[in-house]
Amino acid sequence: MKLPPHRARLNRHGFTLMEVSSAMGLMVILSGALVIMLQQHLSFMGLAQRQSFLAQEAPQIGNVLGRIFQQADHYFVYASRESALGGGTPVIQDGGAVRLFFKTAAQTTQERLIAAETGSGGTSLRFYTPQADGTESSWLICQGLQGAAFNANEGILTVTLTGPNGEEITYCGGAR
Amino acid sequence: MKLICRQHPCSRGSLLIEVSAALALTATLALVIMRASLLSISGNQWTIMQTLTDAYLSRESALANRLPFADLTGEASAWPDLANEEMPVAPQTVTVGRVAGGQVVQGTLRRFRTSEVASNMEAPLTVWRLHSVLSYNVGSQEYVKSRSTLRLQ
Repeated sequence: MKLPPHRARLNRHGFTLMEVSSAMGLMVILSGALVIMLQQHLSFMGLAQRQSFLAQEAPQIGNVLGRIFQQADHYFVYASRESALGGGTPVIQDGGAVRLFFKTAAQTTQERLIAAETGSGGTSLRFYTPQADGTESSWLICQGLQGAAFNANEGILTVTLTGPNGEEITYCGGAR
Repeated sequence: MKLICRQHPCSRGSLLIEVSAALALTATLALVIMRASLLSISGNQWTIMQTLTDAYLSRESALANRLPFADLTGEASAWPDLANEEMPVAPQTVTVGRVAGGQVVQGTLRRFRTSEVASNMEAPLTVWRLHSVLSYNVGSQEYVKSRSTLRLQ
């Protein structure tokens, strides 16, 4: 039952050099395509990350600051939080803090403070509420900024925020 | 032996077909992912422009509320009367903000005021509505957003 030589060659297991070469070439193309896809995905992720301040944080900051500014009765801009608390002279522009005064239903005045504070993680905006016992409570409006500046040079209160990637947005409000 | 001879030619080259199918599948997947990524980025772009223009128009509303009435009705009014043909509404290019990387975003602002008259008004009041119309582009599309403020004296 010995097979003729040409039949024996046909029955041999394995691939020809051409088949292996073609398969390897296609696999190289396939892996290259996958690498390109990964790089593209990473670049899109990076782009989305760079846009996250304006796309995700800024609308919320605008909502918060807009409500606060619109409800303020009057305001004073100071160079810094220390200056605002220490009774310093108000400034017109490039301020680091703003004292806001709100009228209550009982016609009393409540004071609040928003200050830009620079630390190791960048500049943050913090809202301070003085308490009756002399202490103060605070909550964070935003953080990770490159800078924040309060201005009152146009007759309205503005705050210009510089985002972590050089973004710039200005929110405005005014005394009623 | 016949069975072996029939099966072997069928299996030869099957790897080629499998890899080709995988390549086609990968290419399709790449296109789908790229389309999804582009859609998400373009959505971000639209949101960013909404954020910037909303913030800019908060300035317009604040200024419109703050402007003294004498300045509002003066000859050099920032909100010229739309009915007055001698003071045409001139569009001005304004900087709305900056996006990531510091690139400036600009828009075109038109300001004008219109007279609001109430027919059954008991007290003689001068009523103006101050309009600020901002037009801006997102990609190839042009959008217009406006704010109006009622002022009376």
